[in-house]
Amino acid sequence: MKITINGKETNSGAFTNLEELVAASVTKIDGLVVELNGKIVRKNQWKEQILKDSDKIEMIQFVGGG
Amino acid sequence: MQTKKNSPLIIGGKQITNRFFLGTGKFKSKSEMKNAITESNIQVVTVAMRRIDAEKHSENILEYIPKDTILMVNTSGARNADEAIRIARLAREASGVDWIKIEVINDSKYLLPDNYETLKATETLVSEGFTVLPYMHPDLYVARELQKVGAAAVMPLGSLIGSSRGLDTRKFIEILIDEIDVPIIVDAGIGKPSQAAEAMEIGADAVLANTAVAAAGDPVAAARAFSLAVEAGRIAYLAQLNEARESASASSPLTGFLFETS
Repeated sequence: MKITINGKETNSGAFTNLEELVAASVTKIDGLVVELNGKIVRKNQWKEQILKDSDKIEMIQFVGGG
Repeated sequence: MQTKKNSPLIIGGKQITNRFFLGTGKFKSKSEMKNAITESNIQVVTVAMRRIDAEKHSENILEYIPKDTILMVNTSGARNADEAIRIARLAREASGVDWIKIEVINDSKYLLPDNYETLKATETLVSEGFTVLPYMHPDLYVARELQKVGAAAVMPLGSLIGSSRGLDTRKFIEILIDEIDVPIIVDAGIGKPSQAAEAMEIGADAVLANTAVAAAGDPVAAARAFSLAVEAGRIAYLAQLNEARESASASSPLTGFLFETS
């Protein structure tokens, strides 16, 4: 299964739902927001969100900025 | 008597006592940024949103910003209204923050804000309940429209982002100060405390700087200098200083000189 994470296409066969993918991608989920195919997925829905081929995921966080 | 001039600064229902707003980009370390905020009692700070770098663990910047600080999320990276709106929604989802500095830029050389896209984004985000502070080129008509659609303040640029040129747009900011009722926050290009003080002396309600503080040799001291300059400029404005004049005006009495003979 190919999933695009932050613009990079990756093979993500090992993860069935969004929660597993997030857990494997980041060490802290505070202040993290996830978009699936352009729509925000709330943290409490990550587990139910089943991933499918060619999903596009954005993982975004706060950074320093003016 | 309280007038528009001497009334406290209130934005989005919050009273602001420190009129120096600090951007959090470019600091060498997050702990240094935290010290700059706490030692000068900075009340309003901006942050941005970016993709996480999965290969590199990066700390959550919010952990370094005191809880009672007002967070304003900058939509930097947005090239049009839709992208700015998307970033604002992401920010609210991620942290509950609803103060948004709309920054829409699609010119990579001069980094000038796109006033038209900024106006569109402001209108939409106000209707979604955000407290919207648009970063803009100081154009009176656009400022009037921004005010009309519900901007909580307008943030005209003093000069090009990161240029440290100060108030290149001074005359136009003065016009906004004269004509616009919502707070005027001078943003961008403020490189020295004296420039920040100048903006406040002419009647701006607040000043935002980032590079000047973050890239200073001692950012904590720089934040302090800016805070004090902004406060001094505000007091000077309220004190109604005299206008500059071409001729001299003696400070001491011109009579009763000691060595005068008649």
